[in-house]
Order: sequence, then C-alpha cells, then structure tokens
Amino acid sequence: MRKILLSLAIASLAISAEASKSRVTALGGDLAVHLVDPQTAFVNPAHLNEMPDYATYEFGLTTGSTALGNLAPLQTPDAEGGFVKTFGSAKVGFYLGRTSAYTNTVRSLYGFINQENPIEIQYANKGDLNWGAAFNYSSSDKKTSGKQQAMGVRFGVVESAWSVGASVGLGSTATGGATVANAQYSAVATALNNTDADLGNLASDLYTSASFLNGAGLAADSAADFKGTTGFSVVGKYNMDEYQIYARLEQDGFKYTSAVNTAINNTEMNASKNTLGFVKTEKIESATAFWGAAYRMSTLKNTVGTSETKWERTSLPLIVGGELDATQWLKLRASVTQNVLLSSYKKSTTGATADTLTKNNDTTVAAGAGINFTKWTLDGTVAGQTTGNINQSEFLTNASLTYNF
Amino acid sequence: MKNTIVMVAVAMFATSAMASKSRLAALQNSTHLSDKSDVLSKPHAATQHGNFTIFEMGPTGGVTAGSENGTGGATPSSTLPSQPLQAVGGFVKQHGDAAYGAFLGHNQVWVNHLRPSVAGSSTLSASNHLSDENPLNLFYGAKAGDLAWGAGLGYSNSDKKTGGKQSATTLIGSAGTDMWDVNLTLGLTNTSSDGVVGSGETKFTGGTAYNLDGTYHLDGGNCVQVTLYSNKGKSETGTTANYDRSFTSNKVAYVNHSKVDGGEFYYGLGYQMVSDTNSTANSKIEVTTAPFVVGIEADANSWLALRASVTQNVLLSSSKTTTTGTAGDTVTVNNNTTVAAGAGIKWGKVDLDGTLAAASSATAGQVNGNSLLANAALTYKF
Repeated sequence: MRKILLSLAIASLAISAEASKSRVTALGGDLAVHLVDPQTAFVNPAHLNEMPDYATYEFGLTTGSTALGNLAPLQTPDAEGGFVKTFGSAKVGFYLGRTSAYTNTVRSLYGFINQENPIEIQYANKGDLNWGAAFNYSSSDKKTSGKQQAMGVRFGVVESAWSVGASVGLGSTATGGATVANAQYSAVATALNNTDADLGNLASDLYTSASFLNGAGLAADSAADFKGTTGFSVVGKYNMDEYQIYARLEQDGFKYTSAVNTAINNTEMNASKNTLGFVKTEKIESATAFWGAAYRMSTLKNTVGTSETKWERTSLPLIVGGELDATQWLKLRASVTQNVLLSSYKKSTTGATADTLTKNNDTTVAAGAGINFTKWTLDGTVAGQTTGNINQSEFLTNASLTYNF
Repeated sequence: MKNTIVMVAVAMFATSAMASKSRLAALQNSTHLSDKSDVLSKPHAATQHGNFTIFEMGPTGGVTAGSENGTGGATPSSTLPSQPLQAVGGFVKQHGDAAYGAFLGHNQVWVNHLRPSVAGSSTLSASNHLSDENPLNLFYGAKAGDLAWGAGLGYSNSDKKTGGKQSATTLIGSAGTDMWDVNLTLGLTNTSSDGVVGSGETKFTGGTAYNLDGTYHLDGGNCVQVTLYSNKGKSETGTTANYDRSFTSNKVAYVNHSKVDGGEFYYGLGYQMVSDTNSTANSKIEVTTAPFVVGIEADANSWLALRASVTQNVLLSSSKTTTTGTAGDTVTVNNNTTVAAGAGIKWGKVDLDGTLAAASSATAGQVNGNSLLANAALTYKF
C-alpha cells in the first residue's frame, strides 16, 4: 500500500512537469481526476503543493467582452497565464485571464458582458495539513453598455489517502444586455452540444422554442439584469491502491429579468451535475495508463413565469487514456471516451414529459503532445484528433508554454 | 551594493544575448529589458552590446501613415504608437570606448502617430498622408568612466509633388550607468502634405513631441521606470482646420526581475494615464490603466531561448470620451488579457529571433507548418 501511494506520488510529480489546458483536454478533461497540473489547481488549490514553481502561458486571443464563442475555456484558446513561487513552506500564485466557462456561456446567451480581466490569487501551504485556497475577482462597468462583477473562492486539501477541492461563487451579476441575433443561438447550440449538452439544449431552445425567444433573437435592453444564484463545485477523492474513487457535486444558476424581452422575463435557471466515478492508474515503464468510469446525472431547469422546461440527463462515460515519455524531449498523451450502457436524455415542458431518448453517438478521441526543452514545455493538442489528419496545417493547437523553475 | 551592481550587470548581459522587436514584443516591452534594439532610443546603449548587425524581416514600409500604425484624424485615440512590422536593418560598431551605428527603415513612432491616416489604407488622400519614407537613423555613444552617453539623429524626407510630401527630424540623447539610465527623444520637425496644388492642399504640422524615459535599478532586482510621452499635430486644408490633436501618456512602472537558469523571470505593475484631445472638435479621450505583466526568458538548451509573457489591466482601468463637448461616462476598459511568446535560435554568432505566431495571432493556439515564427530577425555579432 505504501509503495503504491509512493508510486502514485512519484507519478504525480512526474506529470506536474507538464501543464496546460491542452494536456487536461487530451487526457479526458474532468474524467481524468488523477491529474495534478496547474490547471487542476483551479479545482483543488492544494495541488500547488504537489508541483514545482512554474510560470505558465496559455496561447490564445484576447476574448471579446461579449464573445458568444467563449464557450469552454478547456478547449477554447483564450489568452491566460500566471506564476506560482515558493515562499518558505507556502506557495503563492498570481494568475491573469482565467474565466469561468459556465458564467461566460450563460451571460453570453442572454447578451451580457463576459468576465473581463479576471485575476486569481492562489495560496497553498504544506504543513500538518496540505491545503490551499484561492480568490478570484473580475469587475467592469461600461455604464450604458452594461456592467458585470464576479468573484469566488476555492479551497482544497490533499492528504495521502484523500483530497477535497471546492469552488464557491460569491456573486455573479451583470446588467445591460446586448442584442443577440437568432442565428448566433443556432451556432452556439451546435458548438455547445459538443462541450456542455445541457447548455447546448438551452441555447437550442432559445433559438427555436415557442416557450423562449421563438426565433426572434434577443433585443438589447440596458436595464436587463442577471444575477447568479449560489454556485459551487465540490470534488472529493479517495485513493485505494491504484484506484481513485471520486464524487463531484456541481450546482449553478441565475435569474434574468428584462422588460424588453418579455418572452423570457423572470427566467430562473438552475443546473446541477452530480458524478460518482473512479479512475485506475498504472505506471508502465515511462508511461502512465489509466481507465475509469463515472455515473453522471445532470439536471437543468429553466423557469419562465409559470412555464418550466427541464432537461434531465444520465450517462455512464468510460475513459481509457495514457501519457508516456516517447523520448527524453517528447511526451505523448491520448484518451478515448464514450458513454456505455446508460445514456439517456429527457426533456419535460410544464409537466408534459417527452420520451426518454438515448444520447447520440459520442465516441471521442483526444490526443496531445508535450515537447520538453529542459525546464520549458510546449504543450498542445493534436489538431487532427477529430479529423485524423496530421500535416503541416493540422499539427498542434491550444498551445501553451510552461517554465518550471 | 557591489553585488547588486554585478547582478544587474549580469542580468542585463544575459538578456541582451538576443535582440529584436520580436523579442521585446514577446516580453511585452517590459521596463527592465536590455536589448540591442535599444540603441535606437538609447544611443548610449551602443557601447554595451558589442559589434553587431541586425536585419528585421518584414514588408517594405507602407506608403501612407494609414498603412503604418498612425492613428491620425479628428477622432482622439488612446492607442499608443508602436513599431509597424516592416523591413529594418542596421549595424553598431565599437571604436575604443565609443560606438557608432546606422539603421535603415526604422520608424520613429511619434512621426506617423498623429499624421492624417486611415487605418489599413495605402491610398494617398487629404486624410491619409505619406508615412516617414526611407527613414535613416544615425547614432553615436561613448563611455566616460562609469557613465555612458549617446546621441542620435533620425531623418526622413520625400517630395513627390502632387504625390504628397513629408519630412521629419528626430533628435535623441541618452545617458546611463549600471544603476540608472535616462533618454530623451525630441521631435524637431514633422510635416506632411497631400500634394494638392493651391488652396485645397491639406497640410499636417507636428508640434512639440518628446519621449522622456528614466529607469532606476534598486536592490533585489527591483526596477522603476517613468515614461513621459507627448505629441502634438494639426491638419489644415487651406485655412480650414481639420483637427488639432494633443496626445500625452504618463506612465510609472515597477518590475521585479530575478535570475533563473539561463535567463530571468519578472513581474511588474504599471500605472498609466493617457489623454488625447482634439481642440478643433472639442473632443477628448482619457484612459487610465494599471497593467500587470508576468514574463520569463530562459535558455531551453544551448541553441534555443524561449520567452513568454502575459499582461492585462488589473483593478484600475477606466476610459472617458468627450465628443464635441459632451462628456461620456467613465467606463472600464475592455478585457485585454494578452499572451505573447517567442523563440531565439542561436547559431554561434548568428541569432534568429521570432515571435511564436500561436501566441495571439489570428491562428491563436496553433503550432503548425503555417504558423510558427513571425516578425523574424537575424542578428550577427562580430
């Protein structure tokens, strides 16, 4: 048992030399709960204690203030970066540009300003208790063009046998909605169905449903108001030999009011996602292989006045992946995920329940590479992972540079 | 104290191995950087970098200010002028305690800043004058004990008659030691015309322009810089005033830099106030920002140096626009998180520098055969 824990710790340390959104994406996103990475420090800030000091830079464009394209930071290349340094037994980090995918997506759907120029201050300490905390903040005021504010805290503890990480929203508000053309909802709905099916369904209904905007799009309303409700995410993990068993609870929501867009005035949306799963990791020479499964239930309930629309989803995603040192300077990683056996979807509208349907085919392969230059790492996902092509124009994407001090 | 001076000197030497606009761009032009291209704004720095010749790759400079980085016109803009991507080359030669050099194609950014310009356009018109064409920069630096001083001259002149004409002269002076340096860029003349004969001619006349920059290195890798920039210019068609602009930017910045293996890591915070007024239209824009920067440059191996940085405004950030006498609201400046990265490849006495196109270009995030290095520059040290 002790050896296994030690080997897991060593594996984690080795992995921590890599660091990027692209790495997490290539290894299956939140299904790869065994990862310790600067990106996972946004799930559990105590992970900072497990990594060397670093400075990391995620390549990407500066995100527009009301960009409807900013749908999933794990996959969308937005500019962000920061550093973590050791001071005695503590780690202190400062990070620029990290936004919340959920917050930006729902705000965009309703025409509000995204999080702008967010900052995150991170702190972790390794004493009797291996813990970490972080605070993030974003605020902007464009007067008649709208204003927004968002802040939150994160806490985390990592012990040899277990860990807990929590993110809690301390408020997300926005006022002054811009126009959203109906065609944008169509495009966003398609994009979201590949990243967040629940919000994809919401976008789709905003696009066509008679209960929502019914093809009219969203009109500008300087008095429109968005208030986030209590949002949190808690991930608890227990290590049992080579298995890591975890539970993740996520909840978020908002209230929307607009005297102009009367069809969706007084919208209340609540979303929850609960996941119970495990991952088994195994060290094979210079590779770390893993596989796992999760049982996931999600609900998104959207109430407009007396009209209620609810999407309920159950799935059992299976993941198989691995990461290996192909050479001294090259690390390759890949994963495949797919729902198996359980995969259902049901939409209810004001009491009328539709059929429970099986979700669409969703087998997904993700792959990536990390190129090491002593203390530097250039990470990227293989651009051809969804086309099968690897050539000069489809090589690496979502690239980042990380320096380990 | 002696250790600090040595450390600063070592840090400056380490970072000066590379030299290019792309290097500075990849590091967000951070306050503390020492680079061979400094010789154009700090001629005394010519005594610090040895003999070298540099070739910045890029297209031939634009015909008009609009195809450069000019933001001239009646509408005030808070955008600071920056070096356009274009062909630039030059050399520095040491001669005992002195050094001299010449550069071709280097724009003095203040020249095109307020000249009539239509962004992206290369068509000559009353609102889009010639840029500074074929500019020549000469400079000389010398050491006097611990002190180095230098002077430089920038000049551009072209007369195409009805095809437009322009002229600009810049005088540069600087001095510094290991602990501090100061430089002054003084715009002496800046005129342009659309070449129309008679009373329909549109003329631009630049007013007093200067950039005063002072940097002081404190103990512990701390560095403070103050930059004061001012530029003025007016455009008239016959006796009718088109605009009369007055631009100022005052910035104070702090940077902490520390040595890492084969390079250095730095972070810092600035406070900048920018104001641009068009008195003809009674319009104005005032912007206050507090940009934070985190960057690093370090050797990846014996022949490759990598560099990356991220910057964005934090906490303080406001913009206020007054249009024809009507003041608008004070609003927050847009989201502006920007990542830049670059690489320097060393082959003996030759360095090839470039920005990683994946960092923030239109192909953001992509590293492939079509999008690798941009803004490339070759430097040869002899």
